[in-house]
Amino acid sequence: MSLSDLDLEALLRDQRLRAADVAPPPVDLAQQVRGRYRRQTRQRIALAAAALAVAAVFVAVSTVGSALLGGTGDPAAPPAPSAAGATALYGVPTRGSLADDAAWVDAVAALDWGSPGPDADPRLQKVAPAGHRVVFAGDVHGARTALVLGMAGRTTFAVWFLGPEGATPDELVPAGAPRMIHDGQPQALWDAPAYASGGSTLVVVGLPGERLEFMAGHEASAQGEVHEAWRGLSAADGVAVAIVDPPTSGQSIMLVRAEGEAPVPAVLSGRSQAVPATLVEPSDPRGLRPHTPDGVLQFAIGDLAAAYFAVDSERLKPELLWQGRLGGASPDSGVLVGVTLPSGATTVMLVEYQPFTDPNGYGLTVSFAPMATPAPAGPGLLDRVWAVVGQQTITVSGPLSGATAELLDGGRVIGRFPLAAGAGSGNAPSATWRGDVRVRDAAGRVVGEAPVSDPLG
Amino acid sequence: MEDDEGRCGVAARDEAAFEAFVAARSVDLLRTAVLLTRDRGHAEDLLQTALVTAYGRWHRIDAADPYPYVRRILVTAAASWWRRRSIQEIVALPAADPAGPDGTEAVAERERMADALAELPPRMRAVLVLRYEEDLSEAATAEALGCSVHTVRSQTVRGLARLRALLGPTPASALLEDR
Repeated sequence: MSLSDLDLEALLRDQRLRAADVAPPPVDLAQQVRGRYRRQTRQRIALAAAALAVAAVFVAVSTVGSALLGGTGDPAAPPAPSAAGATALYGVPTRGSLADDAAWVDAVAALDWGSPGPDADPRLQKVAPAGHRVVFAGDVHGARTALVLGMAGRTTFAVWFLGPEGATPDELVPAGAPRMIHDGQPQALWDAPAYASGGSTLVVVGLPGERLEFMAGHEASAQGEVHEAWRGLSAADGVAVAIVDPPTSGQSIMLVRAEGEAPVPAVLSGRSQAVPATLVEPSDPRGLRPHTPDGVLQFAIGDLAAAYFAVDSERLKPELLWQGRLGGASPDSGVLVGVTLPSGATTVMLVEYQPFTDPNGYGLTVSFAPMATPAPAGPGLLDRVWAVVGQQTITVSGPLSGATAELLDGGRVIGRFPLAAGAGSGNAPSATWRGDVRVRDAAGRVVGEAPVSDPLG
Repeated sequence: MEDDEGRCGVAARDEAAFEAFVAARSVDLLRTAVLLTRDRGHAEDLLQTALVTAYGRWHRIDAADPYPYVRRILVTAAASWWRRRSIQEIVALPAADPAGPDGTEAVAERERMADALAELPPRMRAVLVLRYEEDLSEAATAEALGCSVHTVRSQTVRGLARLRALLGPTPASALLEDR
């Protein structure tokens, strides 16, 4: 039997007990807030300064110009013999260009990791500052970075610190919250101090002798097959510093791994996430752009497609295929955007959303956003039939002459809905329906047919 | 212009008012943050994020009662947390380790409802949190979210329907009878 509204309301009110279990905020919360506010202000200032400095350095650097460690003048040369046979980073001597600066390293080890919230992993509170180990410390491409580990029993936690080149230890700030790690796996920081300069820095710290790889995104072949795009890094003594393409959005993901081992997500520095991506205007064959919110397009093109395939939005040649109220009983709106991947394969993203307004302005809430498995290179986005099933509806884009979409199940028509200039949205038989969709023009001629797109991933 | 202590535009009297506000209301705000984020690890950071934003605008906030304004900031910031989470799921990031199981059936049921709430879009979730967990009226919820009462009503109906579907026909009544 289903729960009644009264049952649900009682269960919701009961959630207060869950919140009541939470310990009160720290007594110095106001002071922490002021400190964070000051750090953010300084970071913005530092970011602007770094952008000017790094622009002169990152000239004509493309995808993976790996900067090798070691050699005269290399900023991250390992100073100490490697710990041969080590299985955990915690036991490996400090590496990096500052490893020999004992005073600096000791000061970084003593840095406060910040107050863990009452809901943080409780073991984090057992990490004794006296046991902090700096496993990497160096200047890398306009930034000073350090990786610090701490132990709580057998559990290892890690935090990256970041500051401008030449920073004193107390000028470093955590690049992210401390996180539990599986010691023995490499740890990585992905930092974009100069978002617009064409480069970002990836620092990967593994065990001495490990072969390291990174993956910024996926690749689609011309046949539409998608695979993870792992690339090797030039590492010295288990540490690699590379210039890679910058994040395409704050949602970009970078994975690293020791060859053949499980991947680990890199920490994307806070200042990288803070830089907004620029909206790339899609082509608009159906004249729908004036009715389409920028935020939805940014989400589809930048946060979904560009981040997943690690390709700059402009190179995706986005096309706005449909926008409007979703079909049937859905109260949501939707946008269907297509992109052409570097191989020529094509795919589409359906974004279902609800607009809202609040005191800070207009916004939207994305409720569902599937991406379709790419189609092989060949016909353009507008010359194919795309059919994407959402939460309750199916959205179709076909040739511009399309006037009706028919839903076929085993060759039998089980539903139809009208299209405007070849695109529209209607009720789906179910959220998991996987039939075919046929598009007819106003005269009843079939102008396209395709199976419902499989969601990617 | 930043002064020696980095207090951009925050006068001394505002500092005192901000201190007093945090001391008086941060527990309430943290409770709301816990309910909005589901992920307990994000709640305090969400609270700090909201307070940092409020601190930077403190001189522009109605000094008589800053709480509704700060709560709005909190709710808005929570939406961005959830947006990020949904995207991470799309790109198949490994999920964070879930909290360990609780010992009692009531707590387990509470966690189940929290899991279901976590599946809702952030605005819909915020409506339900403010209406039922914060006990705000429809009008107060609309004001807090900057939307119409009609939107609050429709989001409430749809939110309850989604929760019903997510929770399924399981005996949640056991929890209610136990209390």
